Amino acid sequence: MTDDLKTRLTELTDARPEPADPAATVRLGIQRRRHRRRSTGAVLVTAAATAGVLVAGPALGTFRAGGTEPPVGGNTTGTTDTGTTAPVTTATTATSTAGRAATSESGPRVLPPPWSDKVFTKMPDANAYGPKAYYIAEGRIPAEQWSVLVYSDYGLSAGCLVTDEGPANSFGRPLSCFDEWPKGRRIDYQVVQGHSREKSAVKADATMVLGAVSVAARRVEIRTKAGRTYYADAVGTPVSDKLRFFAAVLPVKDVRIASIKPLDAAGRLAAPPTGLPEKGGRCVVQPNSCVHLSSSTPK
Amino acid sequence: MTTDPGGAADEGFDAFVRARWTSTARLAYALTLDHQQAEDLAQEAFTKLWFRWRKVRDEHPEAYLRRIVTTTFLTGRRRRWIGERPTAQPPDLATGSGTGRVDDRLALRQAMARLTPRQRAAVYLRFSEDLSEKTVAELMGCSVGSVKSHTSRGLGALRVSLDLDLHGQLADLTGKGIRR
Repeated sequence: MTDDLKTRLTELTDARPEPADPAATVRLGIQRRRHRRRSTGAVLVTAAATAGVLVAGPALGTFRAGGTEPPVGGNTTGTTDTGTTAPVTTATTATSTAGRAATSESGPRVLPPPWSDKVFTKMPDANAYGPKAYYIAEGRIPAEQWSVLVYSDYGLSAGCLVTDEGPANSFGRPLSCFDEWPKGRRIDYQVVQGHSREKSAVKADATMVLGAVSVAARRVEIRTKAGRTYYADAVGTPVSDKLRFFAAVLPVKDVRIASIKPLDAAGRLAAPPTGLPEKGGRCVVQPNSCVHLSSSTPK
Repeated sequence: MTTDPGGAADEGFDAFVRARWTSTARLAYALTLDHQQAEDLAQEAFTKLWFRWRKVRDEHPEAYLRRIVTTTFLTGRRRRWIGERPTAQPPDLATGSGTGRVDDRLALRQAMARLTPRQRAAVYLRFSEDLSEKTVAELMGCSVGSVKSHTSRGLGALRVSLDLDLHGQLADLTGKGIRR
């Protein structure tokens, strides 16, 4: 037994099988590693390209929507007196096919954008809005998600707006039918104060403005007595070829409306609707019935 | 304009592999104590070296290769559990050896297997490769103090495991700053 540790370690590592040509074995390992690197690189490049497409797609869509085509649905923009523009509400477009200034042979007339033909299908509420209800605007307030729908009450009215809300029921599910259009009336609307939950709770910084204008309009300008100005899209739907509808949630409470003007594609005051009954059955009731009331909103 | 054809580099690398395979495999076996793992470790180290060959071939490729072997072994030990591997024959046969030298070798292997990977690496690099504490510290990626500690504890464990007269060597180590 040797006492030299170095000698013993050398003896320990002496008896080993040696490959005939270690260089060949190493070459094989190098080839494998190269192949693995290339495969990993290809996977990474593919993943990066996929991620790029996923990211760029919505971005391009955003640029397109903000460019030549006007926004659709419940998009609103707030402006101060100094003209500074900033988004003020979470309302978003319900859905829209590309509006075309043409008449469909088999379906209803398709109006120029903003246009929405997204059908409300949530049961059982959808059964109450016949024959079909379409989304005008969607958005979110801190308490819940909200949507505004329009339907024609089986042809008995020019169009009724109703909200679809969550459990908080912040706006109390108002229902307004807009079928009373005296000569010269350009707009009819309703203002609904939002609450944190149900109507007995504290008021929320959310006020819904919803109404109807003529098909000549593309958006409405909402001015408050506090000096703020908001804009909401006037959305065409299959419900009516004489009216467009709008809805927006302003991020303030106790709103006092100074004026609401329908604006056409050129930004001028839009003409009043025509061919509608001067005395109809406008109603404001909850939740889904319709009680006729006299008009109480400023014109 | 000068060029460096890949063929010349390949030939130089192949020659280096053939020249350094035995010593590299010896180090790998001392660390792993398993022939198959040692060959895999040596092959992996040479493969890694190839991708840095153009940069290190004119400097000290041996030192770089030794560092690859050590760090690959130590990091590999941290990453995965290396469990018991089936072999055709039991690796540790305490009987049946024809000579006392074989007995000694098996006993040392068992004693080395009881050391931690870092102790084993420190002991082998210090006493078999005759490397300085500073060099071993650089290879293992730790401080000189840690090398001293690993070496001291490794030698202590070997002394307990083996009927080995290490007193003389431990006395030498004491002179180098390692306490018994």
